[in-house]
Amino acid sequence: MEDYENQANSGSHSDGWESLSNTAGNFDKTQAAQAINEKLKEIGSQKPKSYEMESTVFFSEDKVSIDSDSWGDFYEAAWDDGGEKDAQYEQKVKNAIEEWNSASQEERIAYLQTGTLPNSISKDTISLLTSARIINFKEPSRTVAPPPRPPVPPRPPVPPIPPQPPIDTDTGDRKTDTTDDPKRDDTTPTPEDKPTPFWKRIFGPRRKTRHTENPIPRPKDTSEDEPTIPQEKPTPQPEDPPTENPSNHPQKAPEEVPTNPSETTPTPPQPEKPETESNLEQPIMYEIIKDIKEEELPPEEREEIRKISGAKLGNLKKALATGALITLVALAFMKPPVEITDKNHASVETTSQEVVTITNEVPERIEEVEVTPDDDPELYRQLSIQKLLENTTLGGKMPVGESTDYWESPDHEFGGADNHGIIDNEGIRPAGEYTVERLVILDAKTGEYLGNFYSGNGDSGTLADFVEKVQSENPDREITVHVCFDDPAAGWSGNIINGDVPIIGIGRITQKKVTPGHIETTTITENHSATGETDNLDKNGTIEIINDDGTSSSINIRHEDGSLYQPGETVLDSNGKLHTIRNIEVTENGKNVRIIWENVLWDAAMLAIAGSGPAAAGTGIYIATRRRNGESDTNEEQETPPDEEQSTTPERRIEIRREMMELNAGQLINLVDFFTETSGDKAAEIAAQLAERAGTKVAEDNPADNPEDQGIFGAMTAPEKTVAKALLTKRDEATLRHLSELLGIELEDYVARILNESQNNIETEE
Amino acid sequence: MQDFQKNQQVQLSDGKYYLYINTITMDGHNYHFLSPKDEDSFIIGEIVHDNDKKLFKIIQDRETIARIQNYYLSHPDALLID
Repeated sequence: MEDYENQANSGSHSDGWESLSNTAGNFDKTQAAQAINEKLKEIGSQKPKSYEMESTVFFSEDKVSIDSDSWGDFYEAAWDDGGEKDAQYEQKVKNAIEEWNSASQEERIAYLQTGTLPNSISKDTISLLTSARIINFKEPSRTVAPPPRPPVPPRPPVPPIPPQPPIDTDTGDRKTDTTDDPKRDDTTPTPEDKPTPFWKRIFGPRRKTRHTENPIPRPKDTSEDEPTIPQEKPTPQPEDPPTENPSNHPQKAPEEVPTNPSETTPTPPQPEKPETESNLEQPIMYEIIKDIKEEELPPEEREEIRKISGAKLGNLKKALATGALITLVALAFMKPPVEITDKNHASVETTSQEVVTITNEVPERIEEVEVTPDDDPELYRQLSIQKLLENTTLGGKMPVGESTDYWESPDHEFGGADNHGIIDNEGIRPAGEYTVERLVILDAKTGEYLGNFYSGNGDSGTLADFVEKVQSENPDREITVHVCFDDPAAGWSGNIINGDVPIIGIGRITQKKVTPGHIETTTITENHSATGETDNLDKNGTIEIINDDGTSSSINIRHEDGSLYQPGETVLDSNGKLHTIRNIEVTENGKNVRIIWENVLWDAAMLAIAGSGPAAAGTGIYIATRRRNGESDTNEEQETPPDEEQSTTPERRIEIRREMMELNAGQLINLVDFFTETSGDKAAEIAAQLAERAGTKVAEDNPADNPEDQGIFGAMTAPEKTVAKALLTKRDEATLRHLSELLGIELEDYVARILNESQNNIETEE
Repeated sequence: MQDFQKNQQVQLSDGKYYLYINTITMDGHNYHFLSPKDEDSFIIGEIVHDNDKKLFKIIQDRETIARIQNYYLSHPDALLID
């Protein structure tokens, strides 16, 4: 200040603003042209559209403007630099700007390029405009007293401008390192100093963006080099808070809950706070603001609410019973984070509570009940049957009283006496592996267990009686007869009756036609279905299947070439059991596979030979049907004397049983054929001998639908049937050897013994 | 007096309507099960009186829910509504 005063008092202005003003006044068009040329060179071929002063003033061939905010900077810089700035001066500058702007653009360009002043612009104007900018680059004289500070228009606070290094006269840039710069003291220019181009002194380094009439206020750029436009700082916004944070609860807490005012305004994101006992245990309470009693509802809504409530109550009970309550309950703070139903409801209240929707339905859980026959025989039986029947979707149902043709398998026609031996999908299997043990009768619609019969002599009549009884109670009831087998070789287990018979499977009878005394075609199929899922069907089509007995195995439903098995093809499961694929459904995503397969276990014709249940079942139902229709138990073709058609008498029933157990001669032949590997007439001869030795004869007068099957007609009585069964079930190596000897003496003895036993059994039963 | 009646609906201060489903009484607490009408979820809570306000205090910790679950398994008749 003292220097300024001294300068003012002494009138010295050699280093003051006046000298600079004079310098500016000496500015000529040559200098301007040089400056423009340099500038053009700097920016290449691009035509200069504007040059913007580093600080505030816009000066170009275009119009010049100084926005109101910039005036403050202008004065500030001028004041700091010791320049004279007051309202009068400001007006002069404004007038000069106005004059400059009044000129045409061509005139301004011409001036900037050639230094030729247009008529509308005076030299003083150029001087003033130039000097107004030069002030920023000149140190004020210490001897000049600062003029009174003019009133400064309101403006935002501006940070002080840091000392700026001198400008490199070669590049126009400010130097960053001035320690070894001989021209660093530009306040005392030496003659050899290359004069700084005026435009650089005026404009400074070009800014990157064009000045606008209404610039967005932004912090001053204090960088010394290429000034960069400060990026507008984003308004601090609270980030999506972690779900664990209670403050992010999607649903607002009740209005009564006080809200922290500080949390209602956006705050910078805070680091996630660890869950603490305090925020976890903060009670969450909703006010009950309204209640609607059931009786307040209109009748129609009342009924609807009852239904919904009943269903929800059922779900709740189920969840409670299965231990799955937690899956139904919406928890706000449990980890892992649960699905939030509505994220748009982001609330900051820390006491809010969310209701989480569990979209997945509660899976059905079948409670495993460990019941042994000793615990509850009846329950054990029913559970076992139910288990056996699960996924049994195919097979016929035989409506009582309707044609037996209804009970026809849509896909299979197995059986028949032309099939040799006992046939299932694994081919001809040695007798003895299977034994039909039980007939289980269920309600076809409800699956209700109705009863069971030991498969043996007279079971068809027993079944007929049973069906008749069922009909009398409920004429509309349909039943299914399930035949239970054992298969020790396959390792099937299960016991649904007495605990001494392993039940291996369950089948339903399909048959085309039932003629008493003659089972023409009967097929028993064991049907399965399962839904499996595999992650990659393309590479591994193996799915797990659950067999009817509860055991699991796996099936690869693709061939080696990757193609799916087709319905009708057989596939070997992991347990070595063959299944026939009935259907394969692959969902759209290619992952879910539902297959239905079935395993034909038995040729019922062979079972008939064995005196087993399927034939009896079919026949028994047939008889029941006939009874219902007012017919006799047997058809008239069997030449049953009319006077003997007293189906209701015990004697007649016994007779019917005998008739029903008669064997088809062709079946007998096949039986012999199977054991002896003898076919044709030889087998028929052996069968006839066997029948004769069994005390019966082979009838030759029965109609022969299939000569090959029934070339020798006759009917075996119960003893023969028992023999056949014995041969099947009690076959051993010795028996086979004896059979291979074709009715050797050992066999005769064996048969005789069996016959005696069978006869005794029959007599006992009767 | 029971807090809720069968098939009663309540509107809580979250604005949602809930259907009262059942109650389990355990350790002197009546734990009520409410369910949004159109959702398969439940909230469990107790009634708390605050002056003249009737508040539904929601059970939110797994432990309590687990205790309720276990209590039911050992007391199948614990549900108020059969």
